[in-house]
Amino acid sequence: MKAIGALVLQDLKRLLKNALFWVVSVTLVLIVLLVQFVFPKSVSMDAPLLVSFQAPSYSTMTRVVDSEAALRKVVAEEQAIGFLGDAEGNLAILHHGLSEKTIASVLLTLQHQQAPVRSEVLQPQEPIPFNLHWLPVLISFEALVLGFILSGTLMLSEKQEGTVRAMRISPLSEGRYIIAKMILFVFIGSSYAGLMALFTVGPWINWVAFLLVSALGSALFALIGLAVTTPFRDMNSWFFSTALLLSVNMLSALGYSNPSIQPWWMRMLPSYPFLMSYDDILFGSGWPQGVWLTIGLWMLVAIPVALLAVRRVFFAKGGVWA
Amino acid sequence: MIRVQHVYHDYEGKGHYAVADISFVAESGKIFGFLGPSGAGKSTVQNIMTGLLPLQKGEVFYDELSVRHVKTAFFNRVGVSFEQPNVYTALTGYENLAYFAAQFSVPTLDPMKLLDRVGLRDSAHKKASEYSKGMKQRLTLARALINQGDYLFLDEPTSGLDPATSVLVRELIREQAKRGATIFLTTHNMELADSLCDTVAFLSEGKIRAMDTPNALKLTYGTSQVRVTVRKDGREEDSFFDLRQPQAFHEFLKENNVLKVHSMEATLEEIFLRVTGKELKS
Repeated sequence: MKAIGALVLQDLKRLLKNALFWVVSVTLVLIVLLVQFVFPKSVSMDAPLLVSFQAPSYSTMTRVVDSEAALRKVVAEEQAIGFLGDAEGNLAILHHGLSEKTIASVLLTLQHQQAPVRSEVLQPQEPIPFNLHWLPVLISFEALVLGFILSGTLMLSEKQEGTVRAMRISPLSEGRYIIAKMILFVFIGSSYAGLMALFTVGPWINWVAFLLVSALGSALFALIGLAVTTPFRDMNSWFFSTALLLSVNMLSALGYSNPSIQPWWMRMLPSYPFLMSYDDILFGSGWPQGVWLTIGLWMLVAIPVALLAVRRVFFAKGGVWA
Repeated sequence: MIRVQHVYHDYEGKGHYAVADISFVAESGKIFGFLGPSGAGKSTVQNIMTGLLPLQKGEVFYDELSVRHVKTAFFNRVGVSFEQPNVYTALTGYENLAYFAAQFSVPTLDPMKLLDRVGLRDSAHKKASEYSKGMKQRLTLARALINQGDYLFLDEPTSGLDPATSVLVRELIREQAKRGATIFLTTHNMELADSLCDTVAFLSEGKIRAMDTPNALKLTYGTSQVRVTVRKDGREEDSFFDLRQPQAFHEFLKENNVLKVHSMEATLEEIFLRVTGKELKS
């Protein structure tokens, strides 16, 4: 414990003297300020304008124009949806890239204007304020990813200063090294995530679930960061490779904003279960649903991979290193 | 005791050995000097011995334990001072030592006392990034000594040090030998090796060319000459005599007004040049 404690303390001291750490801390404050004071709590979601020409079935529910040219002009200039009919009774829908699902919904709604369609929400919940909607994304890609970026930064500076050579001829084991980094980044990542939630959503959330998810996420990203950084010798090559990895990892935000776009590979990204967990904890049932298997699998893979990577590059003793 | 037996190392795996057939024994309580110019293979041998490089061929034993079988805990008994100082520059000198001390599961020295011994007490709470190269070198040496290891590897321990600090460091190294540590000292400083080492090995182009005590090497490879300075016609003149034929020397002393007599003992550097055909400082 003494050795791990010394490692955590030493890494914390080095972090406090690292410019990147302070950039990240300032970003945290900026995010809280943006969410609280800049982003609106609600935005008006006006229904789109509907216009038609030669479409008598829709004339009572739409604004009717007197030519196809006029229809096209209104659709183009006012982001409207146009219904264009012809002499044979065919109908074309003019729009700006709506999905087939949306078009079908609009047609269904219009066809049932006389008898309104009843809608039922299976999991009723309060609408999420607009300024908080992206909070799970911000926590996942700011607080949790800290472990990834900063563990890599610390490891690279150890390589560049040559202290890694001194560690290799000390009784420090790869297990202790990794545990110390995980403890540090679980503490920092969970603290950052907690502060972001506290100053935006408020204190009335399930903190047990929130801190559990934050701790697991921070630990996982610290492990991935260590494993990914081991082959690199300098900041430049590391930065571009990790930027690419982090970009791929961020694709899960697409699935979060558009639940109809969640292919299987997106659900397997390490950020996905944490993003969905924060959504459940902050705005849903209060406890993450259906994510534990993915988190468990990622941990099962990340722990041995990080151990192997750090062992081969850092700590092999007695002439068995890579 | 460290036993190195027929060690070879090939960095590229193409049959070009950086070091070849290296064998020696470094005794407990003694200082073993590894002398050679840059690129001779000194660091390669040290890295193989400490496990920083894989042992491809041959054997290295710490007492009876092969380096192939050492575990993490073994490094509680080892101290290494690198030629290139490698310290945490964001931490102070004291924090550097305290951090490494915490990694050992054996009793360690008080970091402040150790810093005092290497002349860094006044800079103990300065960040290592503010240290000069010599100060970093001393900090690295202090780190190597903090666990009072049984096996010490010191790579150019006085490089970049002023004469007064160099004397301090030499004394510290002698103390480690007195307490029974096996010291493997790598250097191209023949004067340091001559003053500290019980045994020296000359390494050139990856091979040991000669190995013995400094005195024995001087006897084997040096000449028994003396230089005699006399005054003749108001001027000083030097004459040289081989002591293996003392008759001429004795007669010269009787017949001349001798001012000075100097022994012409060969230095290790001269012996190295004679044995290897290469300069130590190349």
